[in-house]
Amino acid sequence: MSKPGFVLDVDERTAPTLLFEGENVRVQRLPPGSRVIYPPASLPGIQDVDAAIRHALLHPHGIEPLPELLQPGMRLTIVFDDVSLPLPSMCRPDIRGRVIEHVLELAARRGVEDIELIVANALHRRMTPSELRHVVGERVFRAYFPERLRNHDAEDHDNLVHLGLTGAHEDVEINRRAAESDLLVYVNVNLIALNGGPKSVSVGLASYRSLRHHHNTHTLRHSRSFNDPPNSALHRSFHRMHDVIGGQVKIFSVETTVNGDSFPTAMTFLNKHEWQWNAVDRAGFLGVRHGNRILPPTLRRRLLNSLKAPYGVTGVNAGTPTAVHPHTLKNVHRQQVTRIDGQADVGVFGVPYVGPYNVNSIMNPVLAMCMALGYLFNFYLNKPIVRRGGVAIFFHPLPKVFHPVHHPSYIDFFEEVLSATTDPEAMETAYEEKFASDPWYIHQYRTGYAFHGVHPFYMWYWGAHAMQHLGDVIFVGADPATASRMGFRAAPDLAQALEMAADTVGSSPSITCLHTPPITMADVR
Amino acid sequence: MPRTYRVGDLNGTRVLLTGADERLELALLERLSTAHPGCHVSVAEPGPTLAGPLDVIIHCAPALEPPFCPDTAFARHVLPLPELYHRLPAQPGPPHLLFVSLAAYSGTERGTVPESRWEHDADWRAELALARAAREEAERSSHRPVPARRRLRAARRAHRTAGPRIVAREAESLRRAWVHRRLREQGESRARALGMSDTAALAAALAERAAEELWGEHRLTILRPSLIGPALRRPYPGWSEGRAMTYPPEVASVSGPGAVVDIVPADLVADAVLAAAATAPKPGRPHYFHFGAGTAVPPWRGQERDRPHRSPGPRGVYVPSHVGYDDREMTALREAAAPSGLYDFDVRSIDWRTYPDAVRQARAARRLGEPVARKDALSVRPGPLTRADGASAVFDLDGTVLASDLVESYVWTRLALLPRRAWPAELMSLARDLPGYLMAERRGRSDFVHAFLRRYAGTGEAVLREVVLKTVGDALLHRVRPRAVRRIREHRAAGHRTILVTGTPEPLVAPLRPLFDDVAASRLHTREGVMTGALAAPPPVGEARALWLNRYATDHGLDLARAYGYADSYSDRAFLESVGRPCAVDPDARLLRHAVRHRWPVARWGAHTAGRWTALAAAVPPAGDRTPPPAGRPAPPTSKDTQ
Repeated sequence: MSKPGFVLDVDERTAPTLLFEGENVRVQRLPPGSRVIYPPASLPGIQDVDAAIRHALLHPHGIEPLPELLQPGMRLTIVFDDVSLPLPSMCRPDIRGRVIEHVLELAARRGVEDIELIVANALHRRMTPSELRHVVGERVFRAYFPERLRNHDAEDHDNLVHLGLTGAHEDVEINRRAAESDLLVYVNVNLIALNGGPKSVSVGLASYRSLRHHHNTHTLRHSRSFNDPPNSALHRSFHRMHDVIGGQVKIFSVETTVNGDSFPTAMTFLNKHEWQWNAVDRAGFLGVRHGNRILPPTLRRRLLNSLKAPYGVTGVNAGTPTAVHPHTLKNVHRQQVTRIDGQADVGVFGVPYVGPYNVNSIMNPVLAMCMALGYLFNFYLNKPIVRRGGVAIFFHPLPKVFHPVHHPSYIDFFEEVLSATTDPEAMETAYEEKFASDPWYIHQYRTGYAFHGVHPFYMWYWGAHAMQHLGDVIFVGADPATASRMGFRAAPDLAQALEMAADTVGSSPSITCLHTPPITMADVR
Repeated sequence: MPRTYRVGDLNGTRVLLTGADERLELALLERLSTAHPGCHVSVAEPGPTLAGPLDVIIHCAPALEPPFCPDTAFARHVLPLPELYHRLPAQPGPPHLLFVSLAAYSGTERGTVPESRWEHDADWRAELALARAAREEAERSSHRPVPARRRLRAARRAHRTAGPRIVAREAESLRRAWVHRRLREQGESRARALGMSDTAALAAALAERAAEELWGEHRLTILRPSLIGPALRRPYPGWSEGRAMTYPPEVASVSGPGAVVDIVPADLVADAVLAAAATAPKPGRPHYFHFGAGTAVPPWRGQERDRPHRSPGPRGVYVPSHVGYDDREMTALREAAAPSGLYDFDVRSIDWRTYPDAVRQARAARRLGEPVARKDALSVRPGPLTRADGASAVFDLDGTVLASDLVESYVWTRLALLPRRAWPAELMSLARDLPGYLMAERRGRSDFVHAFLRRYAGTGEAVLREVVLKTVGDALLHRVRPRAVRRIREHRAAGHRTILVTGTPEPLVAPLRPLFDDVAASRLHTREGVMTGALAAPPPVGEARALWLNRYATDHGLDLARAYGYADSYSDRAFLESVGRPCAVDPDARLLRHAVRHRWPVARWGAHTAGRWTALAAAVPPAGDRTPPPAGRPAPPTSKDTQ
């Protein structure tokens, strides 16, 4: 039985708290009276993962075992989550690759020959060959790439099929090969409660025409939070779309969950509580902090991107998406949820260097905002960590650096759209269509490794709920010009940030800090 | 003893002004239209004869900007008078000519200068002929081979990269400057030999002589004002439109202690001119007037050093204790004009404390009405685009749309195609050949392109295209300037035709092709799929780019006057000059100078562009993927081929 999550009350003797600050780390002394939410200890991983996979495939929920679904002459499509999960990327072998190998083995035994593998990347960038090799494993890559292992192309209109409208008149349009298959096997890594279930196929293989029905300001504002599916308008839309898809496509979903071992053992200080650090951990921390400052940015990012997480797998479950998902969510909550009583006036968050949209890339200011106001703010059940009208303080330098190949539309979004308006509704009406249909962005998405032209808007909408809920947002250590372009304020350190926050919440606010990594969800009562 | 004047009424008279550019001419128009509505005013139109009949012609000598050559000075000052004489309309008697001359108030005379005919020996016809002959002689000697070669060498040193045609043009402008300098010097020495201070004074004196000769038997008035300054009262205090020579008061301090800058307000001069025009002289007995503020002007005392007055100084600046300009005739005219109440030109009425303030206030008010000067007022920004049929936008690649250049893209292809162990040898060979390329670049952009692209010899064309599809294309996209791409898309959205012209080999441009309607790149000659290093056609760089664009415009019916051009190096000057809307993008020093001088927009598109090393790292395939395809074999179709 591993230790549950707990809330630490900070006093004068408490060790400074470890916080991520973009590509660097820092320890920050919080004012006495603050509370820090720690996640449950990392669950032990399953010892025999192959046995667990076999068991799951033979005992799925709500559908026949996989071997019974495989017939010779059928069309089988295996779809899997893209490089945006898990975070950081998993050490080899990736769990998805292991599951896929088992599925292919079963399929070969049953004589299935027409098999294709598709990455469910929706409007994310295509995966590079080396990233594909990392996820599916060397053997599968060599056997299937490039003719039968490819990325989903949401702008290839000849290979999309419109399945119909939901009850709320939302278009459901997905990949043609997937829709016309006899069986669709979806392999996911359910890192957070947002993923998985009906989201997998209805979003991962969709087109812009479909996605715009739920990736918009209105839906996101009514998703409180999007990590809490019962209270999320986003998930209600996913369910509606899944009902349309499920009626026409047979989906066998294999959902996996991982534990909290996000960092290699060499960086133990990231996996231990601060008061348990020994001399080695302290040295490690200082080494990382100073090494980060000395290294040139390119080298630093290369090092950070090469860090792989030695995740242990905590569960493998299979079945129909709606049947299997509750089991998966139970595992996710077991690993991540900590209960806390009462909201705070001020929330303090450290923004990590990697998010779903800058794997092997650069976290530009828009992505940092999405990470902060989108993901970190929404890691809650029931109520947000910060009270309505409160202040959120994030640690991130907001450097004005953009990856020109992965995020070209973000540069134009930052320069053209944000300088005109920061209101998500206004930009949705005025600019989204133009970016979504721009032929150059579409060309870069289809033939290069760029995120779709509309993607920066989705990043902005991800923070729409937080923007509506909070009274003020302050970035510590950030470039003031960049922060103000996005509509936020910048402070050089936490003390100044709290002084600035005093305008909104008074001079002795209650403070709660969410301690990530590893990923923590607060169940606020 | 001053004469007695009878100032008549201008009602019903027909007055002709020979121009409307000078400040005095504009002031005259203002006075005539407000105070003398009964007078018929006209301004001379071009044509063989003036529209007549006329009673008075008022001719103001043009304010000349120094430095000037004698023949142009005489042509502008003296020649208008005989021309005027020959254009007179047919009428019983020639009209009264009132000539406003710039002959006096130069400060080089001594004593009191009388209001009468200027005494000198110069013959205006002879001087005109002399000046013309001097120009012919100067032109002839400017073509001598030794100095011409020297000028060509200087032009080549400064403008070689822009191409031979521009070098020739610059050498010609150097020759013209030499001719101008020589004529100026000759003019100055000739003027001094005749006892004048400079060419302008000589021209003014000759003009008066010409007027006296042509109108000697008829009615002639010569009025010599000092510097014509902003208006005192009408139309408003400080009004100062029109051409005129004025200096700030600090000029007086340069000239020596006790010097004054003699400025009279334009409205007073205009009234004086009109009063003189209304006083018809007897035929053969011309009137002369001096109009200056004279002793009424408070001296602006400069440094009280005992420095001798430097002559020749600027016109209108003199030391009242050394020279005075007699104005008794003017005073008599004023007293004769006073009763009518229509003419107000009493310099004693000028309040010298409030007049400069009013001038300053008017200048400030004018400045407030002008658009606020932006931070770098030197350069213009490229403006917004409008939909226009037949408009096109032509872009250079290296340095404009891409931050990289020919050498960098070549290094990417080498690193992508060669195994790691071959890199040092390749880079050493590149370093060894670098001086040769620099020399070629000095000779011309086209020479450099020819020399450098020879390095592609032996590379398979299909191999190159494939590697561009993968890593080199990524490196190229790293070095693309997002601001440039935005501008290209703005042109596309405005319906303009977008064209890329570059010396980069054609396979390397492939990732950017969707942005452009047409791409003109270097075509490398291939034999059996392998590049030989030679070019199949002249590369469109330097001057060849301008020629290519002209031919393209003719073939596609484009109007180059409405075309936009974007380039970054001085070698593209010919190309930028051939389009109607050039724009210099992150220009090198020479292009920046040229652009600022010609008020071309200057754009800075460097923001958010990745660095050289990031792109280089992207060009190198990751260690696991290293499977260099054999040269010459076409690549198998990949899943990325979404054609």
